[in-house]
Amino acid sequence: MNGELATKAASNEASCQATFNGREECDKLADYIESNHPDCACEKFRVSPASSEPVADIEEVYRVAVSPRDIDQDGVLMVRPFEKVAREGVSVIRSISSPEQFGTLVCDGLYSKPGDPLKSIQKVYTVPVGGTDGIRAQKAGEGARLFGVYDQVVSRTKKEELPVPTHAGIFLRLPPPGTANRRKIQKDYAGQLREMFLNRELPIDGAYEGLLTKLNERAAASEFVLKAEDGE
Amino acid sequence: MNAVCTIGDAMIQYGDGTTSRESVTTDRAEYTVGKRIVDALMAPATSASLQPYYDLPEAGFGENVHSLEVARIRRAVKVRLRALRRLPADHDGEGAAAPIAASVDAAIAFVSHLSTALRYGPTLDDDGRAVIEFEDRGNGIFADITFEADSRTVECYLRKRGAESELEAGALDKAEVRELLSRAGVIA
Repeated sequence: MNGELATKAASNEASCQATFNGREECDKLADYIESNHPDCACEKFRVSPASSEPVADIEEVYRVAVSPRDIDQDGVLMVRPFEKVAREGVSVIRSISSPEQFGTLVCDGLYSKPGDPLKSIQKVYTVPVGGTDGIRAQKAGEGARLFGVYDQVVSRTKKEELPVPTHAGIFLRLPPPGTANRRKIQKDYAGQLREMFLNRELPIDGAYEGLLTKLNERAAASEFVLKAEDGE
Repeated sequence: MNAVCTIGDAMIQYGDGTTSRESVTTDRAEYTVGKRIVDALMAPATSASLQPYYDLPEAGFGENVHSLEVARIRRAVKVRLRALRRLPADHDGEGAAAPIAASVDAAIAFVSHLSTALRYGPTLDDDGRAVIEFEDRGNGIFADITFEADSRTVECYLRKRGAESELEAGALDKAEVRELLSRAGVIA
């Protein structure tokens, strides 16, 4: 199955960074990673120059729901946003983040343009990366790993600001393009990932000693409305 | 800009047998799309078995859902869909497309006639299409409907515990789509 992929050059830090660089909004990034670096080969390397180190198994990752589409009218975490895992990846924050790094990444998600609805932190979830119930332990029926977790650093909402080194991305690696019923299978796995987060919800004031509650107060006071000079 | 219009009065029958006449308003786009969707779903109708809860010509479908709670849920979901429709592009900070109005209108129209015991809620996909997700966690059932921009076709997905998942796409009156929605418990 991976005969063609086996001809790719060996993965290393430079080749992994070349794969991720500039593709944070590419909706085919998950496929691109797997085709260039099969079997999550890039997990061993820093995929972003701004990252301090690859994501370790002992870490956890946070998913902070700030978009109005993430949570429904009953407070239930929606599945559809997790389908990003088969495209440009699911955005998460690493537990190695300092309070300042965590807060900065969350703030970036809270920004809105003048006149647009204000955002707020609605829910926060955390899931282990490794271990028997971690993201990296999820397997397909035939035993192949489903998800890769990479130290993908992304650009800031205000593009001129320095990136935060503790962002990560989760990417689905199966099934390969051309597989029958591929979309259906991708939806199955996206649902599986959502289930992992759904089972590990934290109280809003339970992460980083109430930091998120304070950020919500600032968001409600319109502190995260971009100004004209903050143009993209 | 969609014009808000009054369709007329509707007689709502509640679970305790009482009825109430309420004014039904919607915007013109939702109404037009809604009529088309209901027409599609009712087409080869088994209408004798369908119990309308609005005494409008294009009344609802389903069974055993004549309750104030059902009306409340529909209202809450439609309010949320209208809020989602107003979101800008990149509302998630991760590059999501702006909502597609025709898709959201189709979802609102569908919800207007929805009768299901499954818990459900709306969202958007990355391309701006409206999605309604249905779930019964106790019985391990999850389903979703994605409304295409043409406001006529949908993609439906069903996953049941212990069974292989299913995916169907096509017009709402396509037999395979209706059968999947029926197996999911979304429609009768």
